Amino acid sequence: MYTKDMVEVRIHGRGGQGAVLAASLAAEVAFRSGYYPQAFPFFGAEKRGAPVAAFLRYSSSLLMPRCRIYEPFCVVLFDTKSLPPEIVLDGLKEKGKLLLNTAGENVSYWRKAAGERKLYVVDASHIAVDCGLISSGMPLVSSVMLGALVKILDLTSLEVLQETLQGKISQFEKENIECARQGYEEVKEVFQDAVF
Amino acid sequence: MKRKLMNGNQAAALAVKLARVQVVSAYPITPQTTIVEDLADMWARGTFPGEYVSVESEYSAMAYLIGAAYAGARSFTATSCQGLAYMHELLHWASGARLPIVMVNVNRSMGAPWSLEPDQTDSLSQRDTGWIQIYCADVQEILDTILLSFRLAEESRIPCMVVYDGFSLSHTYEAVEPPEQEQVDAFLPLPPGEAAINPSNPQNIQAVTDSRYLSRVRQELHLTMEKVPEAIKKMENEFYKIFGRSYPLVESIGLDDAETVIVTAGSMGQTVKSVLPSLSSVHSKKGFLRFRLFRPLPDEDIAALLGNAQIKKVLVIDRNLSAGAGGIFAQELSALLQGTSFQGEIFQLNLSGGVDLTPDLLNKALEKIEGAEKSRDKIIWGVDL
Repeated sequence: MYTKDMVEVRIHGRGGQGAVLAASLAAEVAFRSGYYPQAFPFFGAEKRGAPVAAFLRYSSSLLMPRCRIYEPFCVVLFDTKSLPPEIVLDGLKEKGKLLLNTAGENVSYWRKAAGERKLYVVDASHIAVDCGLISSGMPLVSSVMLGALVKILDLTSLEVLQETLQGKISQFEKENIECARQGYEEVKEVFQDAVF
Repeated sequence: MKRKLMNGNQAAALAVKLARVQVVSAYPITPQTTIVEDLADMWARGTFPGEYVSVESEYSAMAYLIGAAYAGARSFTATSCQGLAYMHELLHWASGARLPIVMVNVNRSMGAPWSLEPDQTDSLSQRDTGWIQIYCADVQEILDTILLSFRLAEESRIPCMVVYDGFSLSHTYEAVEPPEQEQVDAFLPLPPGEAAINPSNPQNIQAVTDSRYLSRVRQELHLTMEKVPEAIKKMENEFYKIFGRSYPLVESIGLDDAETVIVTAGSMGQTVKSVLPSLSSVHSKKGFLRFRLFRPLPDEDIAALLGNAQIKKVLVIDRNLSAGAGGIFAQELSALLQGTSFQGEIFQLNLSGGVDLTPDLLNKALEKIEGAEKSRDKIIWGVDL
């Protein structure tokens, strides 16, 4: 059997938001942290604005299954308005983690939907806009979400995350690394007994 | 050597660059497109010194390469599904004319209906075109196999198709050891540049022939094909000395004492391997066999591997279909085992349409062939499990 430490992640975004890029950059971070990663997109036609999914799998063993991910340990949602909870939470492990991009709207709704799972939030759209990462009116949230994901998976330190991204992003590298930093530092857990 | 993350298509493009390919001609089609995008990008930046020729169809891409190969140039293209089928006629021409073209086919389901799923029927439909076919299981293997294929094609003068699954390899990033240019140069010398087309010596090539001459041409192709497994073994030894890696014609694990053997091709092999020890705790000891070289068929190697009397059952996983006959690897395996010491029974798990092979699906299929609810169905359909 493949090793017990294998971690599987599913990222939901819209075409053009960088979900696939985030998965491959998270793979770079996992690799830098001593894991063997696989990162791959959903098997579909690429259409701007349409829902897309990307996947990340890593473990300390090179030998891993090569099927798609049906029961992720962690789900990342770039846009809380893009998909209903039954799709977002599909297969998410009972003790898994859910990471949302939200400025605070719908948090109690998702807190309830997530059940026993850990819920994390980060205001990625605002951070991306503040850093000037916006395309055709759509905030490019992928680096913020990447930083937050690396933090909640406890993959590596902020310094190693920033070093890993150097030279890996073809446009607006400085802004993206700044976004990743803010995502890493500003992601927060929403506990089950949270009042708001 | 430092490992880097890259996906299967990036590895393919890198291999083509390292092989100092002289002519690339291609037409984009998902999931192959990013290979030729990478090559076009390198060409535009001046880091790929070969010719990059955009054409209006896959048919023209292969026609262009036939011309390039007649002129003695090292030639490459990449395609998938409908694009490969569109080349079909010219694939026969390339092998008949013994032109050492190397092509990647990234498996994708043939339409109709449209689909992006990694069904293998596209490349298997080209089984009888006289091309060498090699199926890869991971990204490193893609890079290494393309390097090997140029040398194999040029020495045998048989075109070579390197095949791998769409998305689960083409778009999957994983750790790869990229070779140094000096290593590749040591393994793969520049092509001899023998040109059938030579302005100083005009001649008519591939003129109309009679059946006896043509039969000799076909016979020579077949006899040369039969020497390919031996040639690959020798090249892999050399490859190992230079790169520290090599690949068998047929990958196998645990066949010495297995009672049930799982047979597959391509990236599904890694899924099977990753769960093989856990599968052995149920019912019977499991072994694993992966078709890597498919044409020429390494029949003697496979028959020797499966010739153990304790092998009772073989489950062939086919992500392809010859409607009315069944899985194509299963048919090939049944045929090659005729008259050998193999005494087991062959079962089929069919995943045509690109059904994903999960550990759970594999367990259910194994339960069908050796569990309580034993099925005598000729084909177990993955979509039914």
